[in-house]
Parts: sequence; C-alpha cells; structure tokens
Amino acid sequence: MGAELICHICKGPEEISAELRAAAIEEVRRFQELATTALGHFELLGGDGDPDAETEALACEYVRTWRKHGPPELLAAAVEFYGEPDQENWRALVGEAPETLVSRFLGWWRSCSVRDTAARTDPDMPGQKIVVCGETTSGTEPEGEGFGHMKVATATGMLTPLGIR
Amino acid sequence: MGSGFHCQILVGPDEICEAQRSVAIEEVRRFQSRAREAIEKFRLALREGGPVTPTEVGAWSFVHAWWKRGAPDAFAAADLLFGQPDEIRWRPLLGEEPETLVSRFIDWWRVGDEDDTATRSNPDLPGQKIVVCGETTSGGEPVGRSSKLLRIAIALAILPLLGIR
Repeated sequence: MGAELICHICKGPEEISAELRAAAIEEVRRFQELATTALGHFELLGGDGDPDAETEALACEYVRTWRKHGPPELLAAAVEFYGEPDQENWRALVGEAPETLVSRFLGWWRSCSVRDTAARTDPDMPGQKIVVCGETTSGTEPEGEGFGHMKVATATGMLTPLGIR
Repeated sequence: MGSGFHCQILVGPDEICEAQRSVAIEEVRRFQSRAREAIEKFRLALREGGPVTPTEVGAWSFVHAWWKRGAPDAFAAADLLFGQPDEIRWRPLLGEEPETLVSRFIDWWRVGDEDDTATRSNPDLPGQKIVVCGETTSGGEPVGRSSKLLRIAIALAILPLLGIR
C-alpha cells in the first residue's frame, strides 16, 4: 500500500466563547457518565470479581442490548475510534476531568501549532477557520498530536457544542 | 521550512463551469506569451559578454527592474515558485498547451483522488468544497502530484479565475 494522506478537515469558530466552552464541558460530562456506566458493565462481565447475581444480570442485559442494537448514540464515536469499552483503551476519554479535556483541545484549536496541523481563515466566513490535521501514512492511523486531539474531541462529543463541524 | 505536515488548504466550487475554464485558458495563453518574452529578455540580458546591442540593453533594463523592484504582478507567483524566467525552470508552465494545463488541473480538482489529496464538502456553503493537498515531509517541499499541479496553477494565477480561494 502506498503512502496516503489521512487527515481530519474541520471548520469552526476562530474564537470559542465561554458559553460554547461551558456547553462542551457539559457534553463531555454526559459522555463520561455514560462511558463510566458502560465501562463498569463490560468490566464486570470480563473481570475476575464475584458480583452478586443481580448486578451480574444487569451487566449481562446491558451488554446484550449493546451487542444487539449497538452502543448508545453518545458512545458511538468512542466505540468507532477506541473499540468496545475498556479501561485501558478508553483512558484518554474518561481518565481526566471534562474541563481538562476541553481546555487541552481548545489550546490546540486556538494555536494549531503542532507539527501535524495546518489552518487558515475561511475566505468566505470571517471569524471561522479551517483546520487540517493528519499525516502521510502507509494506511495506518496517524499518530500526530493534532490528530489525537481530534480523535478525543470526536469521541467525547465536544465538537458539536463548540460549533466545529 | 521545518519538518512536519506541509499542505495547502483551498476552498472552491464542486463543479467548475465552462465559462470559468475558458477564461482560465485565455489567461494561461496570455501568461505564456508574456513569459516567453520575459525568458528571452533574461537570456539576452545575461548572455556572455554583457548587453551590447540596443535590444540587449533594453532587455537588461527589464531584468534590472525585475531584480530591483521584484517581478511584475503577473509573474510574481511564478518567480516565487519557479525562480526567475528560464526556459528549463519554467518548462512546467510553458511546455504544454493552455487547454492541457487547465484541464489537468480541473480534472484533479473535480476528482481529487490522489494519495496526497483529501476533500470534503464545505459544511456552510453547499456546492463548495474544501480541498487539502500536501504531505508529511522532513523539511523539504511536498513532491506529490497534487502539490505539483497546484504549484503550477498558482504560478499561472488561474485559481481566482476558477473561483478557488
């Protein structure tokens, strides 16, 4: 397989207001609550613990429903990018406070000053910018910092409240 | 130019109309005609022994003004991207018919399936798209086919005529 450009192309406000930031934090909080529940159920079934019958039945039902109908909508992107709930794989999504995740993302969005990221002002909409992050790979997922920020942001659902499409 | 992801981010119409194509072809024809004159003036002015005949002295004035005040507007991008007028350096701009150069660029813009290109629709402007072309380099200029096509189009100054910003 030859080298190929794999990247995110997104558009959003150059300046993110305090209101949008607060809404994003709230969305990530909702995501983390749901993700924590999912992690708990999946871990229970796969772990060595000795849960009581009722707890185990609840976890069984949760995972059965998940497998039949797919993950809850709010977790769909996380599953797409990070696989089924797993403490290790999902650490980037639930291991830090929503405020920290959103602030880190916004720091990158504002400056775009990492090696795998480029940006320009939208020529048609002043106040909006186009951000591209990615790299040339032989088909594997890019490992750059910007791509990583976008991955976390997409998985945790913060992009929509921030006005980033 | 440091190492990292080097790319161009462009916005323009999904479909380029025939009228835009015709105008661009006409512009390239004009560019090529004037560029051949410029190349000849550089050749005459810089020939061994220095300018002697009135034609050569006239050519020298042209070259001197170019060096002193920079390239004329019509050649500013070509000068920046391909160096001062020279038959070999400027061959990518002059070696083919205007129709061929413009059509090749439009085909690339329309399809965008090269390995160094990524596209998406513009979320705010239906009928417009965002095109990114570039690659991860260790400091050099991108050498992918799209980057080369784009360099030529920029040097020929046809992007605005095609509605591409």
